[in-house]
Amino acid sequence: MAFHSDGQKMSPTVKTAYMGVFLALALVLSYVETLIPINFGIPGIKLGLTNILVLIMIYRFGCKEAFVVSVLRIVLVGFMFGNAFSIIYSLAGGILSWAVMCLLKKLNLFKIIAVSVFGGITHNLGQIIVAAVIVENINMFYYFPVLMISGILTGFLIGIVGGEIIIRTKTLFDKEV
Amino acid sequence: MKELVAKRDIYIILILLIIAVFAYFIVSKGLVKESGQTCVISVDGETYGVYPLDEDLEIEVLSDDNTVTNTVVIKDSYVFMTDADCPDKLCVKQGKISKSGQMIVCLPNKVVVEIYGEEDLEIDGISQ
Repeated sequence: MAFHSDGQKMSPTVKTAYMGVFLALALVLSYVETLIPINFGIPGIKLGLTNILVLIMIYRFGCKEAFVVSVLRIVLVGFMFGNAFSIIYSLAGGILSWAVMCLLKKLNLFKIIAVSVFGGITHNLGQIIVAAVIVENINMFYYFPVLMISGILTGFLIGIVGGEIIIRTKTLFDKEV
Repeated sequence: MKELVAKRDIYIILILLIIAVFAYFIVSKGLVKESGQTCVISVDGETYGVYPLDEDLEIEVLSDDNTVTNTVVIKDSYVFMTDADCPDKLCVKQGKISKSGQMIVCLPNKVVVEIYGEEDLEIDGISQ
């Protein structure tokens, strides 16, 4: 359920429009990320810019809406820049991190930066689980400590950026489209 | 910043970071040991071939329809992937490996190159 900052319920039309805008933004960020030529020699280490949008969706619109935008974005980006495999990996990471972040937000134990850190870690965990299943090699988990460190660092950065955006755009979604 | 992070958050992030760094050292010190003896290539979970590291060799990994998916080179006891037909070529970028426990993975082609030491082979009987 999405609300305006004055507590009024957002109409489905307005919500749908915003979800479209967020999906478009997510696609652009995915593209921007493919332009960043960082290579750590280990597959799976990425900045995860689109997680900023998933965070904003979870905090401002709701878990259901975040799920829809996240899954659509992964499938579309897979068709545009990736392949069937990249879609499977991204879906595993995306859905696991979405589930964990939603759960942590509902439990209200931590604030947004810690939630984002957990999201970063579980995103990499989901991908490594699928990788281990696909290549049928449990040794894939040797990569996990490195991916966990990278997940914590990127999750932390994404949490700061996403959190600041959420604070600064508190009344943005009040404007009728 | 107060709205974004509380003391409890900092603690849990630090704890997670310490766990990750600790796990990293366990994996890198405990599992990656001395120079390896053999290189095992597996495709889709099944052993494709076992090669000694002390012989220079170029191995072409073939898929079911006999096209070359990955080219693995053994040179001066180092193993590296020189070519792959996958789009991201992350396996080629993973560089050279030589110690037991290290591996090169090509996820799109399901190719895994692992290095084993002498003891490992006796223990898990990979060589059969």
